[in-house]
Amino acid sequence: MKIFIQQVLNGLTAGSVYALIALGYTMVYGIIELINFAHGEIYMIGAYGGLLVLTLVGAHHSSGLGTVLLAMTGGMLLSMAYGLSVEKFAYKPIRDSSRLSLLITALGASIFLQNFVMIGQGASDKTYVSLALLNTTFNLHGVSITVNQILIFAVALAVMLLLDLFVNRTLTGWAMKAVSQDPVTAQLVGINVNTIISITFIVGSGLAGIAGVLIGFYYGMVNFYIGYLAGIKAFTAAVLGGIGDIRGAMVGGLLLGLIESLGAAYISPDYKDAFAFIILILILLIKPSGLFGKGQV
Amino acid sequence: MTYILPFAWTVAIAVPIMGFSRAVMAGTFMLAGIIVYTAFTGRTRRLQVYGLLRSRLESSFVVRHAWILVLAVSVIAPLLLNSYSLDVFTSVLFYAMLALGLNLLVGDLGLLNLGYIAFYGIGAYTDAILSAKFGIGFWPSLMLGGAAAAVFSLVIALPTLRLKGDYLAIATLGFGEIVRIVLNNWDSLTNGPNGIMNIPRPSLPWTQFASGISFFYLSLCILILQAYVLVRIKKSRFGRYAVAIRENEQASAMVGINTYAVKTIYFMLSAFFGGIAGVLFASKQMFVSPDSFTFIESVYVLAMVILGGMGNIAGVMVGAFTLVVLPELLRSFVIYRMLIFALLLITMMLFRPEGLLGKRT
Amino acid sequence: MENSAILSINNISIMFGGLKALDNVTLETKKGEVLCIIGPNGAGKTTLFNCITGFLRPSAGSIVYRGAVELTGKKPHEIAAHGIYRSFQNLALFANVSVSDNVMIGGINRKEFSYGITDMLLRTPRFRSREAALRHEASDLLGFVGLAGKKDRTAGELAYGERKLLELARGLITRPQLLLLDEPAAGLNPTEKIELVRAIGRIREQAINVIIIEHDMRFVSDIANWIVVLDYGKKLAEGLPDDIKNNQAVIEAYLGTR
Repeated sequence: MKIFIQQVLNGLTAGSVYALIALGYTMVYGIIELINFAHGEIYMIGAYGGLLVLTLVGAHHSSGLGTVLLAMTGGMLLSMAYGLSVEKFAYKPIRDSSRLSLLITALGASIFLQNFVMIGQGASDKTYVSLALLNTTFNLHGVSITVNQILIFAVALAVMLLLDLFVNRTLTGWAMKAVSQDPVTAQLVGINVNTIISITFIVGSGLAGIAGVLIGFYYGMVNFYIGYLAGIKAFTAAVLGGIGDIRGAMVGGLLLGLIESLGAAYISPDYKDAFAFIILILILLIKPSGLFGKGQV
Repeated sequence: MTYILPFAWTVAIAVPIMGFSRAVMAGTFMLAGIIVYTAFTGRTRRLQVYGLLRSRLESSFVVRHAWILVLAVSVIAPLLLNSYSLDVFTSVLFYAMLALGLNLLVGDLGLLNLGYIAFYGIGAYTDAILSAKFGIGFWPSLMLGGAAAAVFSLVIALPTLRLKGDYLAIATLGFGEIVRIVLNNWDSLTNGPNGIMNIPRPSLPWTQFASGISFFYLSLCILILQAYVLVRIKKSRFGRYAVAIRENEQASAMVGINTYAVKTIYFMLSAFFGGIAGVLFASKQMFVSPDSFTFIESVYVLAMVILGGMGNIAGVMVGAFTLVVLPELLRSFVIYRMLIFALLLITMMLFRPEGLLGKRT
Repeated sequence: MENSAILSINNISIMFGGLKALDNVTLETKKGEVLCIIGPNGAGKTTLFNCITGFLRPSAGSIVYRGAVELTGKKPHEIAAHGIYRSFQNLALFANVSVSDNVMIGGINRKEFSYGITDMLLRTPRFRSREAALRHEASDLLGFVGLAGKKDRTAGELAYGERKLLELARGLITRPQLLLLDEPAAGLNPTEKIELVRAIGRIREQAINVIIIEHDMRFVSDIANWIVVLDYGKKLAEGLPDDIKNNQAVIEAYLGTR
């Protein structure tokens, strides 16, 4: 039982991060029907952004929460800049081409960013400073939880609530919904579709950037290829929840994290990374519109 | 302004990742790209001349019979090459097989398969397991390797081919990873990350394909056979159905094409060719390990299809040749290789989505 | 009279979200008839075609072809194999494929043009003769619709009116017994419309049944034997062209006095 609860906790930690990344996939897909392969790389760049801030402020073992928040802000901003650039330089010029062209471009953007970072930062792991604050561990009847995990839950929860408010309660959020339902009509009623698409990329990238910094602290290091696996897993989470559906992506992310963590504990740790893909294929087989999706595929 | 802004932007976002001096370099490359871009779009007339020239060339006798020359060179060249170059050219053949197989999906049906290398891997491991462990000969395992790949392809094809193409792309990506993870972990069958050694070379009653040259000719024969089959398909009603599905799936169903069946058969055939190439690869190397079947290899093959021209059999082979030989010539740029490939994919989609040798439409 | 019905649609309904796109619609077309379905935008005309051709599945009701074959629940390509061809409102051609190939693709269900994989691989005499026959017939049909000179262009290069004609030629090679045309006259200029009326007349002479969705009342009265009016997913009226023109309910639906 202790093992079970521990695995659930660990699963929810990873799941919160998947959910944050999945949101970007689902928002972009909802609005321009593109699987943004580069999104995983945007997350990875966020992790490097956080690292950069930590180095600049000279973070050390006893730095406080302020430093952590600063790193998150830095990661978010850098990811936003890259997300917007990818949208402007790679996707916008060919938005009206065939879906195949779009997918290939997205793939190209992903590989480009990966190698771009590899050339700039080197191929080896970079370590995140280990903060005493985040490593503080609480023990409850043999189940341990770190401040780092609590931070991940708290940030994910706060960010998702804010996003929900943004999408459902602001004019920009409504405009995003309008564009995702019918871009032509949205344009007719005076919505600047290009701006809305850019905003969607910026917001989605920002979330991924935050996720990147959180994971940087959690695992204590980053490298240029973490975005690839995290990206496909987060996409799986988005499909699991019903692609295009923001709340679905949140639930899908958490669910995927749980499945992975429990599967690794009770089935086989060697196949941990395969579970996500098996789920992806199963969900496509059984209910391609996702657990909560109602739209047609 | 049009030049300064993108330059400044590139430098600004590259600085955090690359440091100042490299960021300026990246910005300069960006600037050069934009200048080339504006030069291109500003001179469409010149491109028309290029198109006209090309259609003249295409209809000329020499070009239409160029394949004879190519064939002659591929037959004679290996006799003159050292063993290193021969290895490179043998791998050109393998990649040409893969690119032709992938082209059935990407070029003809317009569907993206991002895990194609998995079928190469399945073929290679089928050969490794059957001939190294069970002593089944090369020829049966050539067929079985292809068949195994085709059967495994159904795992992906059946659930996803009913859905939009995007789902196929991501599901194949996942499939590619699953296959690699399984190869890495199923120690009792695949020997895990260490791979399988001592895979025998093929033999015939009168000859052993032990030398590099004989293996080259064997692979060449199989490639030619594959290309022949593909040309025949393309020029038949079956090839037309596939292209019809790419162009308009609804209309295809309406004229009576069973789109799901055609897509499934194409998918299996594509996997079959991947599997065959894998068997050849395994018995050439006499060794397989999961490292040869990574996602980046799938991208590599995709880039060949796109560079040469989607749907164009000769073009795809040219693409394979270029992308195998060019990196060999530019060895010192090895860390830039994938970066250049990525830019190639993006710019091809922007300027010539139909590939270098494809028909402009 | 029962046995002369080519297509009987009985009480079909379909819902989109909360909206009844088709509400208990019943209609029938008899052998040799040109049936026109008219009605304002959003009346459910194209939805009806989608139900007949298997792109949508009605939630209730049945669609019976030739008094014997139930079409609901069949897939589009199975329905096509019964000799039902449908054109799309916004044209559905194979744009990057040559004009003659566009037509040849339509020959899929013609046994006389069929061959197997062995024939294809070995280029057997059967392969050659059947491919040649198919090419020949395609080129005849292109002549019939007036596109003989444009065989080797791609479909995407044709002008709008020509594309409509090409879609018709592709339909004819399937040897349809029932032709469903979705707004064939939309976007055509007056001369092209006259051409189209003539072509439909010739098609009718070949004992092919035609169902047409159309807005243009003048065009409809020129060709229809029978008219069904749909409005808000319901059948509003049916009758001979002259009756429909003077039907008060129809006039109201069109002019929007409600």
